[in-house]
Amino acid sequence: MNRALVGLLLVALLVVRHDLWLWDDARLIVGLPITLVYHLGYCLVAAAVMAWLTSGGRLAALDAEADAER
Amino acid sequence: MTVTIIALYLATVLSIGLFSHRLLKATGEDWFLATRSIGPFLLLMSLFGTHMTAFSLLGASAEAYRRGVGVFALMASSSAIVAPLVFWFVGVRLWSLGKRHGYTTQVQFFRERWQSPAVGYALFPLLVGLLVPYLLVGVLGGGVTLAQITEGAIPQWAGSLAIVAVVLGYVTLGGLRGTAWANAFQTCVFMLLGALTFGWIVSRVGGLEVAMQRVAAEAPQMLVRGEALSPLKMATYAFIPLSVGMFPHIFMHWLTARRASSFRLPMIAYPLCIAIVWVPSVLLGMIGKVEIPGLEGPAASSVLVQMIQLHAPGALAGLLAAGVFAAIMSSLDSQVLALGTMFTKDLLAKRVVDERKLVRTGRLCVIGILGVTYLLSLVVSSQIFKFGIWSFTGYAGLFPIVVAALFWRRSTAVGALAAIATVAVLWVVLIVDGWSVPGYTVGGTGVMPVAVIVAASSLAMVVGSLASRPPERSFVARFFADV
Repeated sequence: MNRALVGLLLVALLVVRHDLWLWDDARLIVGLPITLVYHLGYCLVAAAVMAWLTSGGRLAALDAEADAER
Repeated sequence: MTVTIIALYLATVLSIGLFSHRLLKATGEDWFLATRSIGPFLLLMSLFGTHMTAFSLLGASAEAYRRGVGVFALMASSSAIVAPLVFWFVGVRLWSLGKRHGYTTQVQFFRERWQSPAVGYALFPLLVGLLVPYLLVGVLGGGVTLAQITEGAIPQWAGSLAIVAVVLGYVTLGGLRGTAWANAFQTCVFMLLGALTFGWIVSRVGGLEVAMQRVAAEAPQMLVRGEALSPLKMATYAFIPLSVGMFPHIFMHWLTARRASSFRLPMIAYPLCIAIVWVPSVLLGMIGKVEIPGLEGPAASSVLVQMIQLHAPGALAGLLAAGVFAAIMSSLDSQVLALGTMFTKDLLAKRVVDERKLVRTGRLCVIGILGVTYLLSLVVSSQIFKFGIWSFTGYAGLFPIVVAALFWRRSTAVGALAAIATVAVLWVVLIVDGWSVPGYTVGGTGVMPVAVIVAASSLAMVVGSLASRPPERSFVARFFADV
């Protein structure tokens, strides 16, 4: 997994949490305030990013190492 | 009805502790860490249940009542991304080192990492001191909420006593395994009951769309952040969830993982669990603004309880009380066990090897801590609730220490001591400055105190380390192998 790409993605994720463009937007979407819909989506994206981040070999390598030490 | 449901709930939780006791191996490793055998689902539920307090049910709705929808962006979505990243960068590394070197507490790790007992002596009182107000908030808050829900039928002292007694029962009997099982059950309960409460109340007010249209018409300021929140405050609030990297109870749960891959589910599901718990709470707070307008101070803090009394007294009130108890106890149990472990392993029985004696000491510590917490809850003022955010601020301020320990080979004990001293001093200075200011930010700039403390402790860590002798490379290497 490219470390620079991971770093860039995580910084971008932390930046887009600040939805300044919706600060004073009072629209409702399917009964929910638009900013709440945005942050719900943000939680889904955060989960997807964590799924991608943890799909690399790091956890499996640590497990293999722990098994070898046993 | 309400009291019956609560009694049934408490009996169920206690029986989980009793059952887990049958599996206890009576070794220190089993009582303190469940023999590092916790799988993905239990790990998720224990981490989430421990991290989320009753604030995510009651406090979130109260804050949404006061400030509107921005509360979710401020408090929930910051945790949704920062907490799993801390698990990934810090938690997995600590798990690996803990398993390899046999650590049980943070003090053991930091003392050995920098070969310095002084780091342990400096860190111990700070870690304990920041957790005590947090325990008190749980015990006192549970009693107060129960008194409100039962309209005084159960006094505050009795509600607090019930919480303390049940936690005492299952923690001392089952150790960490009992705590993890009870946590998992209770986390499911408060998530389900939160959703049930939301669904019931929303259906009673004509459905979500109707309710929110009414909010838009009668209190449109609730749908935007406007003046209720500043962008700078929102940005710097994201430092608060860094506290998970230094919470003793989270550290303890990390060490219980069976395998590194057990962390995967918690990291992926954490943002989703946060949304599941916080969205209904925030929406109920906003709907409360038009259903019960004009609440101020403590009355606004109990808006959820008042909504339930308005729309669904009886059975639902009892279920909500059970949900609140679940949220409180699933944090309290781990915090108490973490403190008991620290007092046992770092202070009272540092060199004890007799397994039975270790477990006995751990149990006595848990009994002592809960007993003192309960007695304090009878005499402290409700001002203690203000300590909640300050407790998080203090732990987040210590975060640079764990980052340096795991990622910076050149870091030294002097740097760590400088960072610890900086956190202690700044924490006291800022708390004195901001104690009587609601929504305090540093100098009224919008910058949360936590951002200042994290920046200052990072600087102290760097300057202190560079000003002192570098550590031996060969020794440091054992903390950096392939993690």
